Amino acid sequence: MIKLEHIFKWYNVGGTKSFILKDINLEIKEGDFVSIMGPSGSGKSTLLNVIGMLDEPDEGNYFFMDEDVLNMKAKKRSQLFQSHIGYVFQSYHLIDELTVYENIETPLIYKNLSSSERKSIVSDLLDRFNIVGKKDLFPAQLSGGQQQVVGIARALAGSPKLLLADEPTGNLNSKQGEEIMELFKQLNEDGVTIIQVTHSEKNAEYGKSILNMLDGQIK
Amino acid sequence: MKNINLIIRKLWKNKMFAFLNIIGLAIGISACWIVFRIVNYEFSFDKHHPNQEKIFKVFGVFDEVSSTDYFDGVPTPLSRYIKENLSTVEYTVPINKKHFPIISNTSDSKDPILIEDQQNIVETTSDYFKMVPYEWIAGNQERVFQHPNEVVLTASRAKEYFPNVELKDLVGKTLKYDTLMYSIAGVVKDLEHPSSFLAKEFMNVSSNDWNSDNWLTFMSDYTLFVQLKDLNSKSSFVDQASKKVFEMTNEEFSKSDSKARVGITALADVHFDQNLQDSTNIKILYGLIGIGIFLMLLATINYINLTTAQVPYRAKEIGIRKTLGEQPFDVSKSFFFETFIITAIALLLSLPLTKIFEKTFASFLPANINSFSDQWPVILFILALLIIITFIASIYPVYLINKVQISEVIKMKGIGKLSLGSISLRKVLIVFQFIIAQIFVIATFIMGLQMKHTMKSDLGFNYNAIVTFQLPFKKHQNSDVDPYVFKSAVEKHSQVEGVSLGHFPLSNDHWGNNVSTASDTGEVKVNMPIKFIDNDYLKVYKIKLLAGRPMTIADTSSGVILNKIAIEELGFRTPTDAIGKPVQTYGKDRTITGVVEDFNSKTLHSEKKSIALLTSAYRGQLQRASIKLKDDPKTWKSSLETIEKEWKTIYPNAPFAFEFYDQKMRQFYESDYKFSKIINLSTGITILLSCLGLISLVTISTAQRTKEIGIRKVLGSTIAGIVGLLSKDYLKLIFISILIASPIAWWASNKWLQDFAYKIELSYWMFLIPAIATIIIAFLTMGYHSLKAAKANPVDSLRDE
Repeated sequence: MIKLEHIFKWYNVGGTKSFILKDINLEIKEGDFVSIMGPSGSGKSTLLNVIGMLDEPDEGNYFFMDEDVLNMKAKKRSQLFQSHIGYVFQSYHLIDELTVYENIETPLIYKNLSSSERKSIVSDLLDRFNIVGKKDLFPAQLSGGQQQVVGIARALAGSPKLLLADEPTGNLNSKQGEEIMELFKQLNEDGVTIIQVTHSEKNAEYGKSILNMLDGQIK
Repeated sequence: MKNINLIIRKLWKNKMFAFLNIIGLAIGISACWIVFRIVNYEFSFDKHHPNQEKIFKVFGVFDEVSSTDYFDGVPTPLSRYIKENLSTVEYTVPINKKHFPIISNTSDSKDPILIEDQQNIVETTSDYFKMVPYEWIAGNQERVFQHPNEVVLTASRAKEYFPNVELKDLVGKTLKYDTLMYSIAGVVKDLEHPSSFLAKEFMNVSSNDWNSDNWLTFMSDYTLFVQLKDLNSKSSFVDQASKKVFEMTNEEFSKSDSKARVGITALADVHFDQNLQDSTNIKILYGLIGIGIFLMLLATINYINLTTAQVPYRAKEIGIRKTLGEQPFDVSKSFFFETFIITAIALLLSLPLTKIFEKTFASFLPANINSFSDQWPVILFILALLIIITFIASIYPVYLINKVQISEVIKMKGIGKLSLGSISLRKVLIVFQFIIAQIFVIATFIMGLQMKHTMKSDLGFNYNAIVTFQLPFKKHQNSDVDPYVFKSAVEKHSQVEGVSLGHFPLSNDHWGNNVSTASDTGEVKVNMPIKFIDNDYLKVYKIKLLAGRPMTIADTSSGVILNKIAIEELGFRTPTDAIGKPVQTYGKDRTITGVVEDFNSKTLHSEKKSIALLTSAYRGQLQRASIKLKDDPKTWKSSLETIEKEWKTIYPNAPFAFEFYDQKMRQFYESDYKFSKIINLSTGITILLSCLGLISLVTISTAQRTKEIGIRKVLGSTIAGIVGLLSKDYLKLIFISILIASPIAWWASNKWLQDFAYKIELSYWMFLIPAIATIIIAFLTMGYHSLKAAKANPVDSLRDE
């Protein structure tokens, strides 16, 4: 599903290149659950951003579902990713001005679904994650764990094949974290490919495989 | 609907920004709205008139030795001459204004309708209705004015005189104009568009006027329009009419080295021709358009500043939305839509604002503006404005928002770390705002000084504590009572210091003629205004007598008082030399009995000029009374009550109306006064808008520098030090604005002052004081935000997650 070849990313600092990603080669199959680990500044998040095309590498090739992503027109690329990827963030990144319901609905609006289709999908998700009673609340009225559940529900709204999660439990206490990880495991069993970045050994264990990174390279 | 809901939620969350944004835009929109109404009204004059290119107003032109004068009036017999002799003319339409002290409808004897001083009554010919198309509600255009004493009314007038009668049934009914009965020959609809044809009641030209052979008098009440058959005959028409006027007047006018002819102005230009009556100064309109555009620009700049200040706060949301699949086009679209909604809210708010303004400043609006419907042009304009503002105000913020890098935003921990767009563009905009504001501030200041100066400048006469009266000129108000009766009745009271009859000094009340004197080289002839006064005039107005003696009743037929300029022009060396010398005026020999110091006799825009003072026994020439009261204003009330008692016994039917001289002075400057009021108002608005812009800029920059401020405080900086640090940058900008604005304001003020005969000298402090004022206002505006930032606890700003 994902194939990275010789991916480099660097910043120019005072005339010399400072590498964040150095010659990354990676292949991830559909149905995988990969945990990326490593110390701060090792390039985990950047790698995740490159995979999700939130950030472009400076060098290398990237194939997503056999398509050459880096040589694709921006519009087509963003359509490809929009329909196949969902993101989950450490600090949830819900839109403060939107209710729980509207937050989950937003990606569907961009997919140009009709309002009745949207309604049935959002209702399903609210049911599935047990947050029907909270649908009219604003993010500020929820606990961190609840917010992350909404974040995940939103990421899944577009029924993506790939879920990218950047320290999804980083801001949660251990119990909430465990619940989220259980949820991920369940999703993976349902067929969603998951790549997560994490600091926690325990959470990494939920994955089928673990990638260790150091100084921009996979060890 | 969902989008609107969301936008409202966002606005509610940022109440202060939303409020500043909306109020700024609403002010800008209101200003544009009102300016548009005025400009649209003035520019639509005569534009809907059929055949307008063939219609011309004819006016008098006088070629003097060194100048050419224009006068909007023609000799009475000219119309008949043109009608009977010039075949190039299709319609000859004299418009002779008539005044009737009282118009009455006596058909209902119980409740007669009496209307005094009705305006816009004219005598004209039946050609008028062929040239100016009216819709006839009653009567027949073809048969109008075939009988004597017929009148055609517009619907508005008909309703005034006959409130209870159907307009269709009015033909044949009679109205009494003074003592004459007129029968109604027709009722026409009022014109639907602004027009130079202002008249509301039409009568046939009187046979006296039609058959007149008085070619020598040009009067402003006798104007003339013609419609030519063919545009090519324009110059031949002017030549022929001029030739006739010259022939008929040359013998008399050549005595004063003057030649009379006629000129014409096309109907399309009549409204803006400054030589014609009831015209509008197009420059003021351009000034208004300028002010409207400036205010709109300021409001838009404000919006841009406030919104870009918000972009970092919104970047997160936009970043998230992009990860959820939003396309750049959607981002821009939703932003444009948001601006549109905010502008629309501002538009709603400007509705009451405009109404309040129109009520409060009704005198700034053209008098008849509300009698014509301008609904559609205004709606179209407002819609266009809405779209233009949305577009201009959105472009830059949209550009910035599209630059948002998702990966940066997603990882962003504090707002301060996001650097979006250069702040320099916003700085340039702020400088621009303050340049405009500063120009207005200086203008206000200088205008204020000049107005004060004109009110206080030495006029050559003293008007302190003088009340003025117009004595009645209508018969039923006892106009035949000798003015001296009123004078002596008032004079005997001890509260009254003095009473004088005659034309007021600083006013356009005067007669005019040549004063001539014999000299070595022949005759010296000077054309000067003549004011009729009585024996107490010099005393009441404290006009200084330089030589000779004051006026006495005995001087009625033989004496004249001149001012210093007049005797110099007549060739006398000193005032004493002139005393006793013979002069001629109105074809009569007179002796100079006195010479007075120069005083302002017309307006303060003109310099002091030569003037002759005569006394008269003729009532009509002494119809104005000036009464000097005691200097102490506390006594005025009882004095006026005493005068009123006398007035009521002498003129029982006339209203007791008086005016203090300084009120009169203010009216003299009404247009300047109005103009300065508009500038004052605009100044307030520009300052307000500029400060709003400043607040936004300071808010964003303090937000961005929170961390720096925290570090500085930890390192030991004082609050004052931080406030200074934050304010310094912006005071610098304002300083630059002032430097740029001052020369522009100097140039503009200089231009404006040129019209005043007695003007203040521009000086550096007139620019320094407004500059200091602006800096103080700006500092206070910023102070609050800077202080808040400076007082914040550094622990909060330095904590990372």
